[in-house]
Amino acid sequence: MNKILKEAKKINREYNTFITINESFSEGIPIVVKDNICTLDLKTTAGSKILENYVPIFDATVIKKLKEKNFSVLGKTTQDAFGFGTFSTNTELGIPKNPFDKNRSCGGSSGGTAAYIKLSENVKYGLGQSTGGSINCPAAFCGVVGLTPTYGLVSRYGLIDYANSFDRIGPITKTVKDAAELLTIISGIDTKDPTTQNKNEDYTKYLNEEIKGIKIGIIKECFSEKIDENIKSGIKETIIVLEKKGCEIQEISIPITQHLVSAYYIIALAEASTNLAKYSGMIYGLEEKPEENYNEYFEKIRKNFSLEEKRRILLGTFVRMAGYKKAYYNKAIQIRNLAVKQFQEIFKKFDLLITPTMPILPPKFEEIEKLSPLQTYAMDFLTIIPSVTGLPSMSLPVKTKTKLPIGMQLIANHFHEKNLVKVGDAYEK
Amino acid sequence: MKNKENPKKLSVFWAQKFRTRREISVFAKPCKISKRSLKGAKSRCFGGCEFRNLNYSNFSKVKIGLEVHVPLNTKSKLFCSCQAVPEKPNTNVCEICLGMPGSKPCLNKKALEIAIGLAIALKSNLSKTILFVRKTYFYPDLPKKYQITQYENPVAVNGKLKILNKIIPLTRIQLEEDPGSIYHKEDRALIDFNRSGVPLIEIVTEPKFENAKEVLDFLQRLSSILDYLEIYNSKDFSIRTDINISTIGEKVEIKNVSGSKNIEKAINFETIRQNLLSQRGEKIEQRTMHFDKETEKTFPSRTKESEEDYGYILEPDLPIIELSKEEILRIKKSIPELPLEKIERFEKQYDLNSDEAYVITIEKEIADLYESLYDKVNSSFLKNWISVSLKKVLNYNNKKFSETKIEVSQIEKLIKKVTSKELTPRSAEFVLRELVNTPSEISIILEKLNISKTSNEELNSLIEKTIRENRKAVEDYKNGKEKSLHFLIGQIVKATNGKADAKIVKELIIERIK
Repeated sequence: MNKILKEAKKINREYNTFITINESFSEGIPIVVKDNICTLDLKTTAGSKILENYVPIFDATVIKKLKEKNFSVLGKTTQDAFGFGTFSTNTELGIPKNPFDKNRSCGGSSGGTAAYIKLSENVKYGLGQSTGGSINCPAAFCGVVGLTPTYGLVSRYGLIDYANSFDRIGPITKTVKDAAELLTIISGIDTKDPTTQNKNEDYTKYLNEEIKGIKIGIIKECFSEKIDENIKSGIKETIIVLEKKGCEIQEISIPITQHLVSAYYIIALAEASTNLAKYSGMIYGLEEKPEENYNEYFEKIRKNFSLEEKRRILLGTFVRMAGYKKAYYNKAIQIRNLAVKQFQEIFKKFDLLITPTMPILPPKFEEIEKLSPLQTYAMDFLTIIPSVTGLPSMSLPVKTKTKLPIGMQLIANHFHEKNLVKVGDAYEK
Repeated sequence: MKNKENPKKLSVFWAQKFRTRREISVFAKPCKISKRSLKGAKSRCFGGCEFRNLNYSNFSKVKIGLEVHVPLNTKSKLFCSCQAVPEKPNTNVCEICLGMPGSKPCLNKKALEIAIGLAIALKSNLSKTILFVRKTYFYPDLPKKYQITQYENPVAVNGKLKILNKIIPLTRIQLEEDPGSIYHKEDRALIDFNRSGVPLIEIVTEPKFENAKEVLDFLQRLSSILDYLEIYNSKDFSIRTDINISTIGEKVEIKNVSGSKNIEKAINFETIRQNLLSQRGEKIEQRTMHFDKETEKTFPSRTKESEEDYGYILEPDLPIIELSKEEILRIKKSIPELPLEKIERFEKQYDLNSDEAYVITIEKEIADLYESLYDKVNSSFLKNWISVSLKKVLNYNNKKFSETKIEVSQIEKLIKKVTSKELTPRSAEFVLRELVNTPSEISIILEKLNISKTSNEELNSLIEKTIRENRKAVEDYKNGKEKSLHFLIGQIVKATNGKADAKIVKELIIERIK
């Protein structure tokens, strides 16, 4: 058997990294893909029960582009169902285990991709997808590079929607160089996704660059007592390294960052609740024999949603209903617009902003079980900053003395991925 | 791998399913009106009382507003490249109009341009930024379970359309996607998604109509504008109208009525129903009704729901649209002369009164016909012939002039044959009937129908014969019995199979027996 396929099966047995392994994989550059990105003739479940046996009739634009460059999908990776989670535990189709400690989470929701990239010797390219931090978080927990591009840089056509105005596809790779290569291939305008813009470039040309004079802001609010001490000190050491390489470091306070978690969850769940409306067991996905009238059948199918899926549908429906929409949905949109404006001002003075990626080290599964949904949602408050504002960001593994990996989050201005690549690559060396 | 979809052959698969009556989605006990619930509804509405007991003089004034849905004739659907025509069930579908996971909408620019053109034609204010929203509701024919439509910032607001006696203000003009269509068969519901995603323009009026006549006039004028702009797909789909009616109580909405006769009946029935309820001291609640074509009555369909319950949010997959002045100008320039302008011009240029001008211009092709023949034939005859004979034959066949394949030169020939007395007007109408249904050369039709005008010689001998055989009638006429003359004329016209001109026959008889 193909050695790449063999390795995939071996790792999967131990770490649950795949929902589907592509048995017909034989040649081409191997890439692992989050299971909410549609692949022609290859099962795509989004980690959910309701799409457990769904086989798309088309390739997502990113997959099409990769296939043209001789890439071949090795497998579809485990994830929180529909991306609804921070630890890749909200799924019935396999929970991935952390490469550093099998009792700990890989982070989420692109957990399977991040874990596999860390574990594999043969595969260095992976595709993740982020709504509120689902690329950066697992990259941080698994000690790999996660790059979340600007909203509109990479086509979402063929991505199973969580929250369309946040969703982004991006690379999860072993190195910044790999990420730059992958981003160069998948980015660019797509007529099938009208939210894309023609602003892509060759990001590999920003590798091996001097980073002298790059202005970096350290967001004060993101180094509060909520952050694990190990993470804080690990990142502070990194900042010193960057300073030595000639970067100009300055602390900055951005108070609006405190309000973004609420704004994010309101808008994201409002959109998610409409996106999940379509799963009604009629055209695709889970199907049962219809013996009752339409409303009853609809109910019967939708009983298959998990608790988290139901929770998000209910919350999302609530915030857009008459009488509540003004207080929640409309206000959240205002906060989002305000945040975008403020960050555009900030990026007149800075090239990059730095925060930790996650406030905690990869938690144990038993610890996760004790968290309330609200506590879990709050874990996303750092990755939500670039998510709400559509800014590009990268989680970079910092060199650390701790046994568990630490991720540092770099945030750049819209369509300035080059700064992420420059600084990330320089730090790696 | 358990795999229920056959991905590659999806559309074929469905088509086969339909052929074999194993449908995509089969639901036993669909929400359908049974005969029994009809009875229940009847007693709820009227408590068994009959129409003849009505006291019309006490009827309160009715206010009617419309939401008119016009399917557009674009090549492709509103958000995908599927053809916007019906064909075999579930064949004009793709991942986008079926709402498959991962698919995204992409706006059909042509449809937007059409909507803007219509908005300009209806003298509306165009929105500076145009937004699309998701309207969530859980119907089986709606694949995504939300419809992409407009709410805030539709294509245009504050339009107007002049009808016979007033100006109807138009609240909004918006663009949206059509759902699929449901067919009920025995105890099952079949869904055809070919219509899913067909572009619709919705025109919402203020509640300024006071009766069915005004509504019908509005719809006729609107459809005339649609014809002029050549934007409405009348071949495959029908215009569907939601009618809001209120008398003294709250607003009642009758959903999805199509065809002017149904609209008229629905309005009249609902007006009577509401008045009856109020005369009996009952309260009229806000609710949604539907019109049943068979019983010609309205029935409650859904429980009441306020508009906002649809949980509108912005459609995040579509960017906000801002139109440049140049684009709007370009669309404006492409708008042809519209009915109202044409009426004014015809009144001046051809010395017509406003009714005549309206009748001639209501269909663009007829207006063109009038203009091109105006100098070639007797114009006053042309005017009358169009408004009477042509309209009559078209209405009878339920066709528009543009739908027939009649050429202008044929009409010219036909009219000249009448004005030169070669054909009687009645024979010409026979020819026209033939032309409307089976287009061919006039001479061939004349031969086929065996009607070329009877020669005077033949006619004279026929008159001689008739007078001989009907002595009594002749005597009666001579004694002042006008009826007898008509009897004689009738006998002769009958003998010529209608070919003889009654006027001429009359003159000839009078001359002969004077």
